Amino acid sequence: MPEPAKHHLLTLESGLAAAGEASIWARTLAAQHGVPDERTGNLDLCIIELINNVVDYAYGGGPGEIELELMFTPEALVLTIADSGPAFNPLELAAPVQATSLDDARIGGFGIHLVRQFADACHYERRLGKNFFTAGFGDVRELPRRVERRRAGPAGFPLRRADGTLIVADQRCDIDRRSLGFISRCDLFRDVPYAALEAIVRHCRLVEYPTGAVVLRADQPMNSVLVVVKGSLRVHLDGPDSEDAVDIPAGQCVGELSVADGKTASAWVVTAEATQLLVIEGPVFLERLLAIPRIGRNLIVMLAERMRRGNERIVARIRGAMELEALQRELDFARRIQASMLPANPLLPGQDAVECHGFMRAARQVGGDFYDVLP
Amino acid sequence: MKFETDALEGDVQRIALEGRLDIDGSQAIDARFSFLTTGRKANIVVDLTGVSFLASIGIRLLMTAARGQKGRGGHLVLAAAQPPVLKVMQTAGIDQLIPVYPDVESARAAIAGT
Repeated sequence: MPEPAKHHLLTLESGLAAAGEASIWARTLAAQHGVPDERTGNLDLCIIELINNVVDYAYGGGPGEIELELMFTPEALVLTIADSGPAFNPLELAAPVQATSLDDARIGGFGIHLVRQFADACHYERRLGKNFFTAGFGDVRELPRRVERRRAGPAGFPLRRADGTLIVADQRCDIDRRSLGFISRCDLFRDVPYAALEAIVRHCRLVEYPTGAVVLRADQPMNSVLVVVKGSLRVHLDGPDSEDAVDIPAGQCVGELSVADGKTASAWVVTAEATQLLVIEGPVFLERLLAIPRIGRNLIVMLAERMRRGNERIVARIRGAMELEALQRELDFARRIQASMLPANPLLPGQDAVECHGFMRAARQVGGDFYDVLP
Repeated sequence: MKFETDALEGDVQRIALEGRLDIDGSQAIDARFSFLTTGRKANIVVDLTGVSFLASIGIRLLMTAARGQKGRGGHLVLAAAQPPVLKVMQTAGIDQLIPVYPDVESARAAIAGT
């Protein structure tokens, strides 16, 4: 079983000290996780340059919050920095032109260039009114797919492959059919015409997760609905390691509440085994999927079932609490009975010559010891 | 972040930096370093042996100093950068603009008596 990624979060106030604080935070965590010196140096440089950029440009020296996330896996580490400044994609900046002499060199503008060179992968995304910049270090192919890689909109053709060749038109077919065969059987899509689904699956992604991967984290923005295609998910309300969990089997989905009300996720979702998920982006879900009449009804049925299961759990928990309370009342009663059986003062009535005192205290409610005084 | 200066043979001044040339480090020495490097014409070797980290703000500091000294008619060169620091300088391309030497002695010899 692969070791799950370890996440660390930090929120900083924008200002002159922010980059220094973030640097110390990142270096301390990197040392704790045994990250090699060279990689720590690269992370340190990128974090300072990125924070500096946010302080100077996103917030223009004014107040603002900078959210940082560092994720460690055995092969890689991933830094994400979020700010609420105006939309700005640093990756669209042209690389600086190499000056030929000191006199015509631009002094500055190296920050993002350095980040692009020293990080092994970079990604920018505008989401929920924030800029998210992600930088990966190490074997980033092995990154858990929680890193946002999706595009802002549908892909426009022609697309250019990494090797330079062009993709002229959408050629996806097999994976669509496979997932379509499955999703027509899942609760959300029950009795929905095949043709209506086909148009939607084209806008969705299939994503694979290993066992124990954190798919969703409480209080994180969530802008897509995840349908379990293969495997299963486990929903933890308290934290990713808590015992108290609800299973989401294949055919069920998560994230529809967050997409519906635009609020952050309310629980942690972890894969219980190797799992394949169909990712339906929020806009696709709200505008295209909910436009299909049958989907709305299926969703209500699913939510009703979930609510009913939730109620049953609440009732079971209350019943358990009531039973415990009753047990405690009985124990308390037993304690008072035991105490009343002990001789009370005066211990030897009528015999003023002998003075006698007794005291007993049970370690818990009821004890096994006893005493008496015989004249 | 701190630095020391001493005079080398052949009317060359050595400025040895020590610490991290990040935002805090650069701000800590900015005024004094600028004054020393650009206040008058001189032949200066900036000894980077003790610099463990270089960010873009540190690059800016070095470039401003080198340009200022060039304007005065003197020389400012860099020497003895540690591998991570050298890598940052090469990535930013400033090794193409400011002469970089592997050690202080070769840097001194290159600009002595000019």
